Amino acid sequence: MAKIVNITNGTGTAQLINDTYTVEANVNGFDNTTIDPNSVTIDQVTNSYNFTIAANGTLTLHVTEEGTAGGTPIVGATFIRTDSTGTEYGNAITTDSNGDAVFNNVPFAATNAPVIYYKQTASDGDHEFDSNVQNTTMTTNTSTVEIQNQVGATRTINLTDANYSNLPIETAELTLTN
Amino acid sequence: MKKIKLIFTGLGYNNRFQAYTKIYNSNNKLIYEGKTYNGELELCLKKNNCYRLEAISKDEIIDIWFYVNKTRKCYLFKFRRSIIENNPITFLLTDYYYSNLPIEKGELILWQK
Repeated sequence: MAKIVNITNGTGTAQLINDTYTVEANVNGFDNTTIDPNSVTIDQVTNSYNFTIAANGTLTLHVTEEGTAGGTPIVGATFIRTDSTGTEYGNAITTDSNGDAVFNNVPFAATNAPVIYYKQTASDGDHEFDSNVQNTTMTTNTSTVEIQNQVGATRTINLTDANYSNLPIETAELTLTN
Repeated sequence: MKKIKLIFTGLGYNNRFQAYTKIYNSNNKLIYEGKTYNGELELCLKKNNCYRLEAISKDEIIDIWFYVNKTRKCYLFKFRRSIIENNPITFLLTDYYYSNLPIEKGELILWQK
């Protein structure tokens, strides 16, 4: 007889007698054969058991100035996967010379696909970016999201003499480092 | 006669519960009565004979026939503890490739072996 444990936000509970069980998974968007471990022994002492499961999709983030497939690529922008609250998981990814950064092993499903959360943590130093948590779903095993990183806005920098109010400095350089 | 060991599981952490056991021969005659020690008991029985084990522990009963053959020295019997005795068990399911990333929704299906 099977015992079904419903998982919500990573956690589920059940009352079980001490015994050894075969474990199967039913998780939309993931490869159910990758459930690990696939067997568990419930004993008198342990009240918490950890499992993992893997997905096979590939999500490409394409970052350009214009936010379009043919736009000017941004190199060196970084992203990381999160949950809905922004807590970070896994390793950061970075855009290459084509402006592409890839999340491997993400879930996908034709219907009711799991939500994938991520956020951008840096651009290339010359472009603005949105650091809020973003989300997407994938209905096929590969997908590309277009992301815009606009050029920094034009700013006016004024340099005047400290002892002669508003007297402009004719020639100079200012170096701004972020 | 052959010395054999009966091993009982499901007697709780560190076998804190014991099992009271009776063993009957094929004529249903009581030939042994005793209590386990550390979840085990040792006794001598005739080879190539059937015996009935009656074991009780914390309101759970094992009533089973077993056969003592020429070679086997240990016989394992399992008590299934009542689920009321167990606290609720927590199952954690996370992404294999993104360490500790919780799976938002799914099911684990457990089949007793």
